Amino acid sequence: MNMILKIIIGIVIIVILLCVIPKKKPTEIEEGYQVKSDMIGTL
Amino acid sequence: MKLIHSVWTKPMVENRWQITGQLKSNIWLYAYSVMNAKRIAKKITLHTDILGLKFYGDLGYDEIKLTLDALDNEPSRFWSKGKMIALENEPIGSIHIDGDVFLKKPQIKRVLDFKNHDIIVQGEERLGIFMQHYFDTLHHYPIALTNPPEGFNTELKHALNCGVLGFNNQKIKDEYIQGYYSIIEQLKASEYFMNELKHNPKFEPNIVIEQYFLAGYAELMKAKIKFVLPLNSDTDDEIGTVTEMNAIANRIGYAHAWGSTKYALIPAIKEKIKQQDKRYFNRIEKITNKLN
Repeated sequence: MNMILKIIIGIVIIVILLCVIPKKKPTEIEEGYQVKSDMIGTL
Repeated sequence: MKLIHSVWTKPMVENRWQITGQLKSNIWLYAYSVMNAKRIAKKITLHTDILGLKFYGDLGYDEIKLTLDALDNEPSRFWSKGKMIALENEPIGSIHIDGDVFLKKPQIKRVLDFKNHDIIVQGEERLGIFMQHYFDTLHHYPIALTNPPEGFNTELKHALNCGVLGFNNQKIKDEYIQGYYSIIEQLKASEYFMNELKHNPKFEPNIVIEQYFLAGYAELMKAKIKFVLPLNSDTDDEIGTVTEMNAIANRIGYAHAWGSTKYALIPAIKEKIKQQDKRYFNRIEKITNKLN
Protein backbone atom coordinates (compact mmCIF):
# COMPACT_ATOMS: atom_id res chain seq x y z
CA MET A 1 0.00 0.00 0.00
CA ASN A 2 2.83 2.31 0.99
CA MET A 3 4.65 1.50 -2.32
CA ILE A 4 1.57 2.30 -4.44
CA LEU A 5 1.21 5.64 -2.64
CA LYS A 6 4.85 6.49 -3.43
CA ILE A 7 4.35 5.65 -7.14
CA ILE A 8 1.22 7.83 -7.31
CA ILE A 9 3.02 10.75 -5.63
CA GLY A 10 5.94 10.28 -8.09
CA ILE A 11 3.61 10.42 -11.11
CA VAL A 12 1.86 13.54 -9.75
CA ILE A 13 5.26 15.28 -9.30
CA ILE A 14 6.35 14.39 -12.88
CA VAL A 15 3.03 15.69 -14.31
CA ILE A 16 3.38 18.96 -12.35
CA LEU A 17 6.98 19.39 -13.55
CA LEU A 18 5.99 18.79 -17.18
CA CYS A 19 3.32 21.47 -16.90
CA VAL A 20 5.64 23.99 -15.23
CA ILE A 21 8.73 23.66 -17.52
CA PRO A 22 8.37 26.30 -20.31
CA LYS A 23 8.28 24.93 -23.86
CA LYS A 24 9.94 26.51 -26.87
CA LYS A 25 7.65 27.33 -29.78
CA PRO A 26 8.36 24.90 -32.65
CA THR A 27 8.77 27.60 -35.32
CA GLU A 28 10.83 29.99 -33.21
CA ILE A 29 14.06 31.08 -34.92
CA GLU A 30 17.11 31.73 -32.82
CA GLU A 31 17.82 35.43 -32.78
CA GLY A 32 21.08 35.92 -34.62
CA TYR A 33 23.74 33.58 -35.79
CA GLN A 34 24.87 30.82 -33.46
CA VAL A 35 28.24 29.14 -34.00
CA LYS A 36 26.63 25.73 -34.40
CA SER A 37 23.78 26.92 -36.60
CA ASP A 38 23.93 27.60 -40.34
CA MET A 39 22.31 31.02 -40.38
CA ILE A 40 23.79 34.46 -40.92
CA GLY A 41 21.45 37.28 -39.99
CA THR A 42 17.80 36.65 -39.23
CA LEU A 43 14.79 35.81 -41.35
CA MET B 1 21.14 45.95 -60.73
CA LYS B 2 20.48 42.53 -62.19
CA LEU B 3 20.13 39.56 -59.85
CA ILE B 4 20.38 35.91 -60.86
CA HIS B 5 19.08 32.74 -59.27
CA SER B 6 19.96 29.24 -60.44
CA VAL B 7 18.00 26.03 -59.89
CA TRP B 8 19.61 22.82 -61.10
CA THR B 9 17.09 20.18 -60.07
CA LYS B 10 19.22 17.03 -60.46
CA PRO B 11 21.10 17.42 -57.12
CA MET B 12 17.77 18.00 -55.36
CA VAL B 13 16.09 15.02 -56.99
CA GLU B 14 19.12 12.85 -56.15
CA ASN B 15 18.85 13.84 -52.48
CA ARG B 16 21.98 15.98 -52.06
CA TRP B 17 23.47 15.61 -48.55
CA GLN B 18 21.18 12.54 -48.19
CA ILE B 19 18.19 14.80 -47.59
CA THR B 20 14.92 13.91 -49.28
CA GLY B 21 12.18 16.27 -50.51
CA GLN B 22 14.53 19.09 -51.49
CA LEU B 23 12.68 19.98 -54.70
CA LYS B 24 9.70 20.97 -52.54
CA SER B 25 11.53 22.50 -49.55
CA ASN B 26 13.67 24.68 -51.77
CA ILE B 27 10.59 26.22 -53.41
CA TRP B 28 9.83 28.01 -50.12
CA LEU B 29 13.42 29.22 -49.71
CA TYR B 30 13.59 30.48 -53.30
CA ALA B 31 10.14 32.07 -53.03
CA TYR B 32 11.16 34.05 -49.94
CA SER B 33 14.40 35.02 -51.67
CA VAL B 34 12.54 36.20 -54.82
CA MET B 35 9.95 38.06 -52.76
CA ASN B 36 12.68 40.06 -51.01
CA ALA B 37 14.89 40.52 -54.09
CA LYS B 38 12.07 41.95 -56.20
CA ARG B 39 11.78 44.89 -53.80
CA ILE B 40 15.32 46.05 -54.54
CA ALA B 41 16.32 44.77 -57.99
CA LYS B 42 15.22 45.97 -61.41
CA LYS B 43 15.29 42.45 -62.74
CA ILE B 44 15.69 38.93 -61.42
CA THR B 45 16.52 36.13 -63.82
CA LEU B 46 16.25 32.40 -63.20
CA HIS B 47 18.59 29.91 -64.83
CA THR B 48 17.16 26.42 -64.61
CA ASP B 49 16.27 23.18 -66.42
CA ILE B 50 12.94 21.88 -67.68
CA LEU B 51 11.91 20.37 -64.32
CA GLY B 52 12.93 23.58 -62.57
CA LEU B 53 10.74 25.55 -64.96
CA LYS B 54 7.77 23.41 -63.97
CA PHE B 55 8.10 24.00 -60.22
CA TYR B 56 10.10 27.25 -59.91
CA GLY B 57 8.91 29.06 -63.03
CA ASP B 58 5.99 30.75 -61.29
CA LEU B 59 7.81 32.29 -58.33
CA GLY B 60 7.80 35.76 -59.91
CA TYR B 61 10.95 35.90 -62.04
CA ASP B 62 11.22 38.58 -64.73
CA GLU B 63 13.08 36.24 -67.05
CA ILE B 64 13.75 32.48 -67.19
CA LYS B 65 16.52 30.79 -69.16
CA LEU B 66 16.78 27.02 -69.64
CA THR B 67 20.58 26.99 -69.61
CA LEU B 68 20.88 24.18 -67.06
CA ASP B 69 19.41 21.47 -69.28
CA ALA B 70 23.02 21.24 -70.48
CA LEU B 71 23.91 19.64 -67.12
CA ASP B 72 21.81 16.50 -67.62
CA ASN B 73 24.85 14.21 -67.74
CA GLU B 74 26.88 15.98 -65.06
CA PRO B 75 27.37 14.19 -61.69
CA SER B 76 25.08 15.92 -59.21
CA ARG B 77 27.82 15.97 -56.53
CA PHE B 78 29.19 19.02 -58.38
CA TRP B 79 25.98 20.89 -57.63
CA SER B 80 27.50 24.38 -57.70
CA LYS B 81 28.03 24.09 -61.46
CA GLY B 82 24.51 25.44 -62.04
CA LYS B 83 25.64 28.74 -60.54
CA MET B 84 28.69 28.91 -62.83
CA ILE B 85 26.66 28.20 -65.99
CA ALA B 86 24.21 30.91 -64.93
CA LEU B 87 26.96 33.48 -64.36
CA GLU B 88 28.73 32.51 -67.59
CA ASN B 89 25.53 33.28 -69.49
CA GLU B 90 24.97 36.71 -67.96
CA PRO B 91 26.87 39.97 -68.57
CA ILE B 92 29.44 41.26 -66.10
CA GLY B 93 27.89 43.32 -63.34
CA SER B 94 25.17 40.71 -62.76
CA ILE B 95 25.03 39.26 -59.26
CA HIS B 96 24.14 35.66 -58.48
CA ILE B 97 22.47 35.11 -55.11
CA ASP B 98 21.84 31.68 -53.66
CA GLY B 99 18.22 30.63 -53.22
CA ASP B 100 18.72 30.81 -49.46
CA VAL B 101 19.98 34.41 -49.46
CA PHE B 102 17.45 37.03 -48.38
CA LEU B 103 17.94 40.74 -49.15
CA LYS B 104 15.51 42.28 -46.72
CA LYS B 105 16.19 46.02 -46.48
CA PRO B 106 16.43 48.73 -49.21
CA GLN B 107 19.89 49.80 -47.96
CA ILE B 108 21.33 46.49 -49.21
CA LYS B 109 21.16 48.04 -52.72
CA ARG B 110 24.04 50.32 -51.81
CA VAL B 111 26.02 47.38 -50.44
CA LEU B 112 25.54 45.42 -53.66
CA ASP B 113 26.87 48.28 -55.79
CA PHE B 114 30.32 46.98 -56.75
CA LYS B 115 31.15 49.06 -59.81
CA ASN B 116 34.60 49.98 -58.44
CA HIS B 117 35.51 46.35 -57.73
CA ASP B 118 36.39 43.25 -59.75
CA ILE B 119 34.39 40.77 -57.68
CA ILE B 120 31.59 40.81 -55.12
CA VAL B 121 31.19 37.99 -52.59
CA GLN B 122 29.35 37.54 -49.32
CA GLY B 123 32.50 37.57 -47.21
CA GLU B 124 35.72 35.95 -46.18
CA GLU B 125 35.81 32.59 -44.44
CA ARG B 126 38.92 32.33 -42.33
CA LEU B 127 38.36 30.74 -38.94
CA GLY B 128 38.04 27.07 -37.98
CA ILE B 129 34.26 27.09 -37.80
CA PHE B 130 34.18 27.82 -41.53
CA MET B 131 37.44 26.22 -42.68
CA GLN B 132 37.50 22.83 -40.96
CA HIS B 133 35.91 20.88 -43.81
CA TYR B 134 38.29 22.51 -46.31
CA PHE B 135 41.32 21.49 -44.26
CA ASP B 136 39.93 17.97 -43.71
CA THR B 137 39.54 17.32 -47.45
CA LEU B 138 42.20 19.42 -49.21
CA HIS B 139 44.69 16.53 -49.31
CA HIS B 140 42.55 14.79 -51.98
CA TYR B 141 43.07 17.53 -54.55
CA PRO B 142 46.80 17.33 -55.29
CA ILE B 143 46.30 13.57 -55.85
CA ALA B 144 43.37 14.07 -58.24
CA LEU B 145 44.34 17.23 -60.12
CA THR B 146 46.84 16.51 -62.88
CA ASN B 147 46.97 20.12 -64.05
CA PRO B 148 45.52 22.49 -61.41
CA PRO B 149 44.53 25.91 -62.74
CA GLU B 150 46.58 28.95 -61.80
CA GLY B 151 45.48 30.17 -58.39
CA PHE B 152 44.51 26.78 -57.00
CA ASN B 153 46.68 27.01 -53.91
CA THR B 154 46.31 24.42 -51.15
CA GLU B 155 48.50 26.50 -48.81
CA LEU B 156 45.78 29.12 -48.55
CA LYS B 157 44.11 29.52 -45.15
CA HIS B 158 40.92 31.28 -46.22
CA ALA B 159 38.04 31.06 -48.71
CA LEU B 160 35.44 33.43 -50.14
CA ASN B 161 31.81 32.68 -49.35
CA CYS B 162 29.85 32.79 -52.63
CA GLY B 163 26.29 33.14 -51.26
CA VAL B 164 26.57 36.35 -53.27
CA LEU B 165 28.84 36.24 -56.34
CA GLY B 166 29.38 38.69 -59.19
CA PHE B 167 32.14 39.86 -61.53
CA ASN B 168 32.91 43.24 -62.99
CA ASN B 169 36.09 42.22 -64.76
CA GLN B 170 35.61 40.07 -67.87
CA LYS B 171 39.10 38.55 -67.81
CA ILE B 172 38.87 37.55 -64.14
CA LYS B 173 35.38 36.18 -64.65
CA ASP B 174 36.31 34.12 -67.73
CA GLU B 175 39.52 32.72 -66.27
CA TYR B 176 37.93 31.85 -62.94
CA ILE B 177 34.96 30.07 -64.56
CA GLN B 178 37.24 28.18 -66.99
CA GLY B 179 39.46 27.20 -64.03
CA TYR B 180 36.39 26.02 -62.13
CA TYR B 181 35.26 23.88 -65.09
CA SER B 182 38.77 22.53 -65.54
CA ILE B 183 38.95 21.40 -61.88
CA ILE B 184 35.65 19.53 -62.23
CA GLU B 185 36.76 17.82 -65.46
CA GLN B 186 40.00 16.66 -63.82
CA LEU B 187 38.18 15.43 -60.71
CA LYS B 188 35.70 13.50 -62.87
CA ALA B 189 38.63 11.88 -64.66
CA SER B 190 40.21 10.83 -61.36
CA GLU B 191 39.10 7.36 -60.31
CA TYR B 192 40.60 8.03 -56.86
CA PHE B 193 38.56 11.21 -56.33
CA MET B 194 35.28 9.83 -57.66
CA ASN B 195 35.68 6.77 -55.41
CA GLU B 196 36.22 9.05 -52.41
CA LEU B 197 33.02 10.89 -53.30
CA LYS B 198 31.14 7.64 -53.76
CA HIS B 199 32.21 6.13 -50.45
CA ASN B 200 31.89 9.27 -48.38
CA PRO B 201 28.56 11.07 -48.85
CA LYS B 202 29.63 13.73 -46.32
CA PHE B 203 32.62 14.76 -48.45
CA GLU B 204 31.59 18.12 -49.92
CA PRO B 205 33.80 19.16 -52.87
CA ASN B 206 31.92 22.30 -53.97
CA ILE B 207 33.24 24.61 -51.27
CA VAL B 208 36.80 23.92 -52.40
CA ILE B 209 36.15 24.07 -56.15
CA GLU B 210 34.07 27.21 -55.92
CA GLN B 211 35.00 29.22 -52.81
CA TYR B 212 38.54 28.14 -52.01
CA PHE B 213 39.67 28.31 -55.64
CA LEU B 214 38.09 31.77 -55.97
CA ALA B 215 40.09 33.01 -52.96
CA GLY B 216 43.33 31.69 -54.44
CA TYR B 217 42.63 32.97 -57.93
CA ALA B 218 41.54 36.41 -56.67
CA GLU B 219 44.74 36.65 -54.61
CA LEU B 220 46.86 35.70 -57.64
CA MET B 221 45.14 38.33 -59.79
CA LYS B 222 45.24 40.94 -56.99
CA ALA B 223 41.51 41.38 -57.61
CA LYS B 224 39.66 44.15 -55.83
CA ILE B 225 36.94 42.41 -53.85
CA LYS B 226 33.78 43.88 -52.38
CA PHE B 227 32.45 42.09 -49.31
CA VAL B 228 28.76 42.21 -48.44
CA LEU B 229 29.80 41.46 -44.86
CA PRO B 230 33.18 43.16 -44.39
CA LEU B 231 34.79 42.21 -41.08
CA ASN B 232 36.83 44.83 -39.25
CA SER B 233 38.38 42.56 -36.68
CA ASP B 234 41.26 40.26 -37.49
CA THR B 235 41.05 38.14 -34.39
CA ASP B 236 40.99 34.40 -33.80
CA ASP B 237 37.95 34.78 -31.60
CA GLU B 238 35.34 32.72 -33.44
CA ILE B 239 32.31 33.76 -31.41
CA GLY B 240 33.34 37.44 -31.60
CA THR B 241 33.80 37.24 -35.38
CA VAL B 242 30.48 35.52 -35.89
CA THR B 243 28.78 38.08 -33.65
CA GLU B 244 30.32 40.91 -35.71
CA MET B 245 29.27 39.24 -38.98
CA ASN B 246 25.78 38.79 -37.65
CA ALA B 247 25.53 42.39 -36.50
CA ILE B 248 26.53 43.66 -39.98
CA ALA B 249 24.04 41.29 -41.62
CA ASN B 250 21.20 42.51 -39.42
CA ARG B 251 22.13 46.17 -39.93
CA ILE B 252 22.09 45.98 -43.74
CA GLY B 253 19.19 43.51 -43.94
CA TYR B 254 21.05 40.45 -45.19
CA ALA B 255 20.42 36.82 -44.28
CA HIS B 256 21.86 33.56 -45.56
CA ALA B 257 20.52 30.20 -44.41
CA TRP B 258 23.35 28.08 -45.77
CA GLY B 259 24.14 24.40 -45.42
CA SER B 260 21.85 21.46 -44.85
CA THR B 261 20.10 22.73 -41.72
CA LYS B 262 18.35 25.47 -43.71
CA TYR B 263 15.47 23.08 -44.28
CA ALA B 264 14.60 23.34 -40.58
CA LEU B 265 13.67 26.97 -41.27
CA ILE B 266 10.88 26.17 -43.73
CA PRO B 267 7.96 26.55 -41.25
CA ALA B 268 9.25 29.99 -40.21
CA ILE B 269 9.79 31.03 -43.84
CA LYS B 270 6.25 29.98 -44.74
CA GLU B 271 4.96 32.07 -41.87
CA LYS B 272 7.01 35.09 -43.04
CA ILE B 273 5.65 34.82 -46.60
CA LYS B 274 2.11 34.38 -45.30
CA GLN B 275 2.40 37.50 -43.11
CA GLN B 276 3.84 39.65 -45.90
CA ASP B 277 1.84 38.52 -48.94
CA LYS B 278 -1.06 36.14 -48.47
CA ARG B 279 -1.81 35.85 -52.20
CA TYR B 280 1.81 34.95 -52.98
CA PHE B 281 1.75 32.43 -50.14
CA ASN B 282 -1.36 30.75 -51.58
CA ARG B 283 0.27 30.64 -55.02
CA ILE B 284 3.42 28.97 -53.65
CA GLU B 285 1.40 26.54 -51.57
CA LYS B 286 -0.49 25.49 -54.69
CA ILE B 287 2.82 24.81 -56.47
CA THR B 288 4.27 22.80 -53.57
CA ASN B 289 1.06 20.78 -53.20
CA LYS B 290 1.72 19.34 -56.66
CA LEU B 291 4.77 17.64 -55.11
CA ASN B 292 2.85 15.86 -52.30
